[in-house]
Amino acid sequence: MSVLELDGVTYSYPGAPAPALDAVNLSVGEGELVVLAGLSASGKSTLLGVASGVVPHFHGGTFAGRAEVCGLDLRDAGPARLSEHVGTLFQDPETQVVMTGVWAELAFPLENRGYSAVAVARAVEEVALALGIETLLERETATLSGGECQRVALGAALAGRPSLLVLDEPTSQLDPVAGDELLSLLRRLNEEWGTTILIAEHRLERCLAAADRVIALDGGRVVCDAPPSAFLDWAHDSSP
Amino acid sequence: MSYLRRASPLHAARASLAAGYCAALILAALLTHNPLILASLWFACALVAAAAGVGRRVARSLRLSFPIVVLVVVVNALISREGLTVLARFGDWGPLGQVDPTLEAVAYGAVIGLQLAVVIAVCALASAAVDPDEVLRGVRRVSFHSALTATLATRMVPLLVADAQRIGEAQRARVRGASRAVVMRAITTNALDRAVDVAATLEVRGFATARRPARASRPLSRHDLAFGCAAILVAGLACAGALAGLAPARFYPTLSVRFGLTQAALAAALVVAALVPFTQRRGIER
Repeated sequence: MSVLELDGVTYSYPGAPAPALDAVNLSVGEGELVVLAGLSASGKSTLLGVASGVVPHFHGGTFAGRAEVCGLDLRDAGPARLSEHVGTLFQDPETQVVMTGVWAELAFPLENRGYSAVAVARAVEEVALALGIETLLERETATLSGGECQRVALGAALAGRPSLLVLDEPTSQLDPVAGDELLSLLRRLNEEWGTTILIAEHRLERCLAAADRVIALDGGRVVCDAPPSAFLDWAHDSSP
Repeated sequence: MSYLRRASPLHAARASLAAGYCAALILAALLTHNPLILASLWFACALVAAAAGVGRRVARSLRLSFPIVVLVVVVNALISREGLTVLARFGDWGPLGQVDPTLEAVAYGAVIGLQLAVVIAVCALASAAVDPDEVLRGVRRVSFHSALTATLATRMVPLLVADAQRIGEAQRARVRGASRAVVMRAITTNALDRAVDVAATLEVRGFATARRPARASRPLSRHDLAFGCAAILVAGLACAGALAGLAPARFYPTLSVRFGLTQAALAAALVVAALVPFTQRRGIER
């Protein structure tokens, strides 16, 4: 069963002269770890935005085609509704923390869904243990380092055990060690929890080893969709 | 402007009662113009802050309130036409008219300034000692969206301060340096992007479809009871004092402020009522 299904999706941001996504057809299956590759402005973040519903619901613009995320049609379901199935992690850790304490940050999405206090406490403990951030639970978010902050934001995205995890260059503001730790953590979650992962990353050497599949974008179009080894061959041939 | 987790009775009390306690101190300050009572409230606030381990934070609010107090005194002295004891005759100042500052106007300005200083100090105490996440959890049962909007508005402050530091350092690294105006313009432009990013995060965390949270019942702790009682006592003393006219202060046309035994007793009672909850130190670890 596919978690993300795009059929002829074309999307333009408000006032943009050219579409950010151009007739994209795509299917991502359950449990896959898919890496999105491409230069800046190739459409990676927009594609991730479609997967999390912020495109077009949050940004506006012109959307054509059909997109289905975890069985929900994107025309009917916005990011808030999709958040029950999709966890999202953006680039900047600072703007992804909205509460004062780490515990409250992890509990926030669950409380939004109306979970009972006991269920919230249990889910927070589980996700904290899974991400190795149980020692941070009593800390204030303002005191966290960039890497810790990103882990906490990842925890908030994963707290409701989403089927699909969408990550937009999650390591871009982390040091190399913290970046590698985050990627190995994602691989482990993918294997142990069966979470489908869709990740955009510039530094491909970090995540190709963990990927099941690489989708390369150029000018809003999918130009390569292949396993990592075939992608490397394609990259070698297409950019001498 | 951010919460500091400390092992203190005030931090150990539930946020709603701790916030109520701070509100009672503010109410007491707003109900009187007697300088002795106001000074005692400020003193009580300083002691409470020290006992709660956030003394430095509240002391920093002094730096903020001092220029405000001076401004209030100066403006009131220049604007007010009341009072009989003229201190100086500055003549006609055009749009301001005849400027003859009076002792009464200066005294009234100082009292209003002191009132503001107490309010600022209590607000600093509340922001450092009352868990905003717990406040949000309580208030969202009544009005979730407005509670979260208010919380986020205050949350943007440290984010923008960090941005200001970064942009300022980057600008200073340039040969000619940068004016404050340039840094402010960069931060203002950046603030909108930051706000959009935070809003996007809220969307993907399910904020737009948030449901009313389930009520979590939790028995009252000794600290909850102590601060609840202290809030009632402080508010009660302040209301009783105001209604019974125990601490009268009249500024116009001539100064008439009473500093007697009754006023001293009321001031002492307010300080004691505010500090009593801190005598119980058991169970303050969090």
